Amino acid sequence: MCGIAGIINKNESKLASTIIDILSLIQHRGPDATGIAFYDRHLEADAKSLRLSLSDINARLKLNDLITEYGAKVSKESSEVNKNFSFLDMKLDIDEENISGLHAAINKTEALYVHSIGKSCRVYKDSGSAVELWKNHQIEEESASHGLGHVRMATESAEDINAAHPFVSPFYSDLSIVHNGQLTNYFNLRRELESKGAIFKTMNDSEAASHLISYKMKENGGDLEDALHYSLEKLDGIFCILAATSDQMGFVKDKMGIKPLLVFEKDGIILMGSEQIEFTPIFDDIYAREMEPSEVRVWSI
Amino acid sequence: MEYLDAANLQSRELNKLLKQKLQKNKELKLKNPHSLHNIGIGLEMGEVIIEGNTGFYAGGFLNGANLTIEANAGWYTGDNMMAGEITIKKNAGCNLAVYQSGGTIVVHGNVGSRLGYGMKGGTTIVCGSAGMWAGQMILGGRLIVLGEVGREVGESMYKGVIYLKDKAVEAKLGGNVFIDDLNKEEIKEINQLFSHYGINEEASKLQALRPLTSGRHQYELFEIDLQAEEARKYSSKSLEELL
Amino acid sequence: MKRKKAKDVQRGIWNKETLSAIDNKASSGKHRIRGCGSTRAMPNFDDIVVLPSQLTRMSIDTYREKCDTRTTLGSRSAKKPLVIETPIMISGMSYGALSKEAKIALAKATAKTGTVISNGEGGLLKEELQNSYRQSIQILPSRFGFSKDNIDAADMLEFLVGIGAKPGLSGHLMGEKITEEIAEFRQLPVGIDLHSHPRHGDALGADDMVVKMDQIRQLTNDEVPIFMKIAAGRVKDDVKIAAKVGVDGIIIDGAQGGTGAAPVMASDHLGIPTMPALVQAVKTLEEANLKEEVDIIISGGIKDGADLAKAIAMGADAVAIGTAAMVAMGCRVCLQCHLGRCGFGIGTQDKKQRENLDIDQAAQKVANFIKGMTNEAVLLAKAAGKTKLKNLEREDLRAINTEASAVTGIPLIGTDYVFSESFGYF
Repeated sequence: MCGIAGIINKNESKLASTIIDILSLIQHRGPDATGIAFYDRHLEADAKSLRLSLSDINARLKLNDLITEYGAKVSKESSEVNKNFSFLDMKLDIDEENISGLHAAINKTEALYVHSIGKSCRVYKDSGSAVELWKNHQIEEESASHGLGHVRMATESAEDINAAHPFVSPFYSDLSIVHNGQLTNYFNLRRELESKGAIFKTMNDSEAASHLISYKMKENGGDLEDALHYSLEKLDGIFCILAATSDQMGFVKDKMGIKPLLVFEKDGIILMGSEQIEFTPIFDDIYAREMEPSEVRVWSI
Repeated sequence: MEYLDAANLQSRELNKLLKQKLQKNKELKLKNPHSLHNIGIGLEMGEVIIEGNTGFYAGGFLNGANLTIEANAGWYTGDNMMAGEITIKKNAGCNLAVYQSGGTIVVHGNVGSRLGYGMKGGTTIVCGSAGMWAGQMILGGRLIVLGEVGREVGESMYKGVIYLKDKAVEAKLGGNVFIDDLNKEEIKEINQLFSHYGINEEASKLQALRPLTSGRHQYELFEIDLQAEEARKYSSKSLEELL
Repeated sequence: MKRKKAKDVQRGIWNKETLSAIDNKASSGKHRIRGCGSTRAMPNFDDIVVLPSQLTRMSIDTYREKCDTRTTLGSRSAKKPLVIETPIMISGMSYGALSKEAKIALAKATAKTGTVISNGEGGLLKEELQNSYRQSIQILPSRFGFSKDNIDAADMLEFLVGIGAKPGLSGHLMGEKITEEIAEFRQLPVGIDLHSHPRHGDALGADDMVVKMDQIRQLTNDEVPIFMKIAAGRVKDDVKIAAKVGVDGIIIDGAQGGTGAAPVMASDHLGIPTMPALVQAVKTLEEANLKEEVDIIISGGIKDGADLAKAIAMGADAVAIGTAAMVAMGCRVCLQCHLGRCGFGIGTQDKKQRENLDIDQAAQKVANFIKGMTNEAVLLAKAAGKTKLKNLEREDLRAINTEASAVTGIPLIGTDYVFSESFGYF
């Protein structure tokens, strides 16, 4: 019950504000929460970024311990506070191979939840509208080549900030996904993924999709297209999923094709989304094609 | 012609103003529609030219008025339309003319999937292409598509007719329909429609899709294909062993 | 002592019904379709009793003092909420499934009792509208015979998502019932076996439904109450969404709900019964602080004043009756509605059979039934010390078995113990 958006701009530019503009036009599809993810290639050399939510201030000490445990050092830190949540934004010096371990370890702590971690992936999500997300957060962006966004209407799961999209998973921390639709085999998926070590932080079905695709990517060495085909087999119900990593982006659409997914390509820009209207901030006058049921497509960036 | 600027309006205020103004003026131009939803729903009279994109449900339940959308139209345009005319100069989203029961819709560009779902009457002409499942479960009316159509066109239509120019339609038919020629009367009527709406096309080049009402609709549900051969592939024993 | 013969041994699950179901599939390869809905036993309001007033409270004089039953529905945002004299509406049964005579009789009964009738699938019969006291119009995925005129005629609108007898399935009308008259009315070819539209083509999902709801509100000048009819399943989530979409009320059809034709599998095995569904709906709205705003109508197996009183006590604002009203007209629940050969002239389109139903007599019987049922509910309410039917509370109820206590959260008789999470101040 949501609106999704994806953009690839090979010319690179500031994408976050564009995604916010796009999401504002489809806010009616999801008034409860808004989230964006983008892949910024110009973060300070070697620094990794970590964004997470903190729902209990006492978990802060635990976080420091974990960071030390995984051999990381905090070089910069800022925080934002919203109702019951604090958002922490950190720059870390950490070895590439320790990222996934730290990601999982943080998520194991109840009051902590990683929104994004890694070299270039940045996820901002919060309750409320796209405009509020822009206003309430210092969205830090140098220049990004691609990103995705989501407005959420909560159906079966809670209206909780962590349940907002995009989702990332420790199985493959670089991957972020947004999802429109409902999965009807969530609980079995969850049990299966938990048996493989997934830690679920919400009751949102999309989180399961995130773990599933990430798990497959961990297994196949980062092949997004293969992982999306796998998800088409494994997921049941209605879904359009946009997925991105630092060098790939793509989508998968369910067999029934109930939910809309439009794609448009022009001048090195690729747009994906739920409605024609949302493309108007970029191209005033275009017609995006609707994708076929069961279609999977991936672009490399 | 009087102008109405929708830049700072929401759908409700806009529709109230439209109704009021159409009491006095027969014609009205709408500026900056900024993809608002529900523009011009249920309008009974007058002519509105919309200079921009519309959101969902433009002209829904339209009941006699004349709408021209000079750019693109969103999903569900002309839903449940009763009478009047909608012209879309560019493209339209999915589910155009859903449950239409009267009036005419002309789209000069392309449309998305589920064109005319559950349509009951009236006429809709698409000059460009239409997506998947055009004319699904229609109960009446006329759908004309002059570009390509997507797969499963006319699935489970009960009544009505779909006219298509797409020569490759045979591979894209839905269930319970058959391809037929147009009769003379139809050719005449449709050519009249084309000339009336300034569409440079010839009806004799079209094929008609009509519902098969003689047979009962058969569904997959009743025809579960229990594939013994397939199943044996997964069996550890060969057929010979099993016997 | 005589030896017990094999033929006298109880067959457990291999009873006559099971054997018949297997024979049916063995010969046809299809699932069985029947009328009337589920026949299996489910927890229901009969497992609940009302506590009378004695020393701690004063009862109301059954013969001399009043107990108000007038009910207002849809006041959340509709400028003209629906006011009915008794909280019993006649639920949507289509012209097509029912004969024209039966529809007119039901409409006339509402005029005699000051209540509302829902038109059901397949258009609005002119004679129904002319004879009804208040008219509810259903907006169904199929939209047979639906037009803007219907919306204009409505005192109440029901956006139908599903029904209790076959939730998650689309409508099914057997070819036998699609006579020339019905075909014309629904704009269909004669005699076609109709498998109708499974989802609303003009609102694919709750997100679109928000915009759709605004459209319908604008078209009705915000005057007419808009309800959403859902089959009882994931009640908590569905009610939450419906409330969010902006409805004035919710009609919840439990698994005991009737129908003209449905797969037996669907009626018996899909969805949850009416009473637990009501409890969940009430809890959900209370948690969201919307109970006072969003009205609840429940249906599915409602058969007497006790059901009504208990439903109201549990938090319903009204109930809807279908099968019970048909029985009042003469239906004997033979489960054969789908064949369209109803000797009572109710579930048929056969000209000869239709003559068997005397409209005025049937209307009077249904009206009497509604009055009698209201009387029964009032009797219980008065005994519980209420001068208004709607003042019945769930704390006035007790469950007579552990199962009913567990599904409702109402204490078991003779204890203060609730066999699940408590539903009230217990």
